[in-house]
Amino acid sequence: MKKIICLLLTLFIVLTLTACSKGGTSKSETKTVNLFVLSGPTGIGSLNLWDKADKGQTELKYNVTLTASNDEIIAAVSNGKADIAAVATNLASTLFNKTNGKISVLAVNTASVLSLLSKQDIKSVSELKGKALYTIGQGANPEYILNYVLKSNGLDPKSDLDINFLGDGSELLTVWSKNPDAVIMAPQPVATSLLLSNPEAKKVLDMGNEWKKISNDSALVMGCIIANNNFIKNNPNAVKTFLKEYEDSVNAAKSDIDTTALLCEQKGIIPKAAVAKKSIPECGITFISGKEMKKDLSGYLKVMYEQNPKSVGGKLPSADFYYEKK
Amino acid sequence: MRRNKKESKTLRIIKGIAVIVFWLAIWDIVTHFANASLMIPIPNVRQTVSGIVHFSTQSDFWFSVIMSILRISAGFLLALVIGFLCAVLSSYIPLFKALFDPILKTVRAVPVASFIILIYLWISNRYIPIFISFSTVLPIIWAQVESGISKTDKSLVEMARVMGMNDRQIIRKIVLAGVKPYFTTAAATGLGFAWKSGVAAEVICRTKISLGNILWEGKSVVEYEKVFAVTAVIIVISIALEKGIKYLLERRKNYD
Repeated sequence: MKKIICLLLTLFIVLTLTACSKGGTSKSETKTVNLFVLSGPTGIGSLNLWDKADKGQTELKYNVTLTASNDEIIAAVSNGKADIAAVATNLASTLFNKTNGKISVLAVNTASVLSLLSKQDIKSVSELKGKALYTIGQGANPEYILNYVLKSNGLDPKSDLDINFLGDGSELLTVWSKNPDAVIMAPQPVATSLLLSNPEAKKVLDMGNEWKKISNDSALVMGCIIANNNFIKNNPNAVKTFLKEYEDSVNAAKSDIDTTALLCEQKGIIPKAAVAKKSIPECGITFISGKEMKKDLSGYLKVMYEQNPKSVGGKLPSADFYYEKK
Repeated sequence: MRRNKKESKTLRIIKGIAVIVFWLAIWDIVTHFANASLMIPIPNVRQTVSGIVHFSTQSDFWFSVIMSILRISAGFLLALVIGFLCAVLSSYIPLFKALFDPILKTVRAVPVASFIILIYLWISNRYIPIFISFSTVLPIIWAQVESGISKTDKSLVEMARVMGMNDRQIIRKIVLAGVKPYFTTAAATGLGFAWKSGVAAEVICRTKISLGNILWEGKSVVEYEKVFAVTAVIIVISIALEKGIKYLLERRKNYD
């Protein structure tokens, strides 16, 4: 009797153990995604997804957190709270380097948000020679992008133009009252606000277009979606689903501007829907993934790296920075 | 005391170092455990020290140290002089006190960050840290010196008059002597505050060639070893400045 019980017990234990280990390797994937979005143009692509998720119309459940500062997103990525986050492309590279490769870029979601505005007629970059230019972002991407475009058009940023860096986007709003001939390079949505309050001014150049004219193997790509590699490893199907749902959201932002503008105001990404409506088409909202993403983004990062290696985290990211659908 | 003075000073230094080593060890242990669940590690002692060493080889860094010290000292010294003056005026001219006491209380109550945001519109980034350290120290000096003056022993003054001392001697030997301990304490405390708030202002305003700017830059490129290293340097300077001013002010006591 004792022997039989012993045998049954052993059998039971062995079966349980094997069952457990089998269950371990085919653990079910998560149904919830923690998405962090920076408030600003890079977040617009996710708005429709967010709205649908609130209404329960998405395949996965999304916990979306809107943050105002890079610091919050960095912290959320670092402590694992963020599974997926929408960040600036150079920050993505920096995070890849600082986490020793624990994140990857899923897709590019923002092309160019920078436009050149002026009250005068300017048809090309070379016409900027001798002009006063006001912008923001000294020591950051705007400066590097401006330098690259100017230099590639044969202009020396230090001597051919009078470039002034202001501290804040809102400071650009007063430039023309003191300096009506100045050219302003502004990001969205400030650029839209500037044009709305200065009807005689217009957008004369788009930095994204100007970049395209200079370079074939890179593009001006300023925002992207990154994911925690552990999350990708454990939830490969969820990631594929997310990308599909996100792409739908991006397409909706491009085609249904009215709804998206309203969402901008509701969610607090752009305070006024009227401004958002004019701003959205200029925000470079896009969805680029796979090989094209790798080409555009690695080229862009290389340009940034050449101006200041620290802007991309000290070194260019390796190939496993770029997610590829398997 | 059975022990002679020299021994106890060495012992004190050793004890001091032991305490510092203890807390550095705790820091290392804490970061070790915290970093297990973080993808971007918090710098430990070794990384911070190597960050400091790295900085010390860069002339930019030393310029920033000097400029930050000069900037904040300027605000501090201004506050010492004006605070002292205002305290004197407040003590002896009732109209002045009636008009300016509310200003003093307001300046003391406004948080540093609000102050910075308010004056950002009128004062350039370069001067805001000077102004902030000035406005942080001014209320302290003013209040303390005024308090010291008010506590002047009136009977001592009367006795001095009876003994034939003139006004100038009375002021120097009785009033100022009485104010001195208040002033010294206020100055030492004030310098610590001036330094902290001044560097904070440099961070918020991104003042060029400043320790605050280096701190901000380290954060913006996610180089936390730099952030920790600069913070450590800031702490060391703060301690050095406080000890320095205490020494300077206390030394002159011996001449009275």
